[in-house]
Amino acid sequence: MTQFTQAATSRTPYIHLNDVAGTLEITGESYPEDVRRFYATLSEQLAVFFASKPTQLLVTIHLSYFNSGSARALMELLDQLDEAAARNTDISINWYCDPDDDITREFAEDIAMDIQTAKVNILETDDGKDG
Amino acid sequence: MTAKTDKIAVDLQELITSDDHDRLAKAAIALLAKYQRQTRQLDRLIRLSDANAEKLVRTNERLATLTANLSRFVPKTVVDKLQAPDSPRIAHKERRELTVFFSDIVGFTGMTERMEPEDLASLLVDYFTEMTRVCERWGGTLDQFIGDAILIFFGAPESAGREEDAKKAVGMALEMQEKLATLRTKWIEDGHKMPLHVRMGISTGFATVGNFGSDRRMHYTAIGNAVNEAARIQGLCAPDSLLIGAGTYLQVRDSYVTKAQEEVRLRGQQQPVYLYEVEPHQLRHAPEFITGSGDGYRIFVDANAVSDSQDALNLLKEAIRRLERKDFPKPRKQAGNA
Repeated sequence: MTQFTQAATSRTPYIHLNDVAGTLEITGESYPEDVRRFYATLSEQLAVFFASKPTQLLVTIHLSYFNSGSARALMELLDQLDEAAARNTDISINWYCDPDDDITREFAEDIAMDIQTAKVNILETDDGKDG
Repeated sequence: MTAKTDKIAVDLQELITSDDHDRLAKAAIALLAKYQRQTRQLDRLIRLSDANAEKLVRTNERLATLTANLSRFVPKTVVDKLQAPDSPRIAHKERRELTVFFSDIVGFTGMTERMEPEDLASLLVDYFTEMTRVCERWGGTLDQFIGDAILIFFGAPESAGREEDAKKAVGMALEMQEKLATLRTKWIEDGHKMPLHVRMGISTGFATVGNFGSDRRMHYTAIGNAVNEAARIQGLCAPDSLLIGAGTYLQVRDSYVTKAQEEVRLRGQQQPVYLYEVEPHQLRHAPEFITGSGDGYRIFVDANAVSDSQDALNLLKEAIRRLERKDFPKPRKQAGNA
């Protein structure tokens, strides 16, 4: 069983991996003091999850701000998800961007071009959608 | 990503020495693909970094505008305190010794009845603008405009010490008097028939200062006897004069010329108090003052106001001579004392 939750702080996002529901949520802002260590923990948890050969995973990303270090970590995370998708886990990534957040939308669109197997959906948040 | 690229590079080096050209070509293509991908990722990171930097510049610009606007609604001293990195929040409420300034326009109610609203508004804009500038120059906390009245205090959120706060308050009031005289000339030249005259009162004492109001709407203000007293002292003041309470007088008596008034009983107070009128036009002479006091002596010399300097010199020389020789008669023992 792989239930993993990391509470949000002013510098790090809320992260919740639910192996039963097959969901991963990353929401908030991301500029951790130690980016590598922060995302390495999630990567390890995902490795454990994928070792159980899950059939599907729905990933929700909604980051209102992330720095360059986090961007690099996100690219590595998407690579890890793409590799798992290539190994027959049905993976959908819903990346939410705020309507006026061109920076996130352009980055997500750019990064999606390198993803081969997982499905990446870039969506706009509704006005009322909470972060 | 880097580990994978490294492995391809190692494989490639091994293949170069072998004759397997097909595998060599495939490894070279894979390495090139990885290189291109990493280049794209690097480009993305640079673009993101630039975009974030641009966003930060815009956020800073908005913050600067917000701060400038905020300073027009909240006292500058409070805005400065809120911005200070070592003071993330102003203490909710605290008891502080303050010097409180209160001013009121003479006959304002009658003016509102007799003057055109536009003319009155024009006078008030000039008046409040100039008084606010003077207040900020002296570091006062402009608490509020109460109709035509101005309430300013010294000693919170920052204090320069009891004496300095009191001196600043009196200095500010004197400069306001000077600015008002200049403004009156301008108003008369502009055709205003009723230039403003102002009463000013200053009191030093304890008050509770901090954020009052609700969680949604706060007002940084002072509440206490010193505030009430300043308002009441102002009420007893002659037009275009400045009256100070005994607490303020004790702090500034060596720095400013004052004239003691008749003992008065302030409304709501049991004991009569002494008030002091601060002589006007002292600011421009301030650098010529020689002041100081201690046990058994008090010196105040205003070089610009001395009419007979020889008399003053003789007196000072006599004091110096006798102090140097310790030439003073011993106090006589009183009869009956042991």
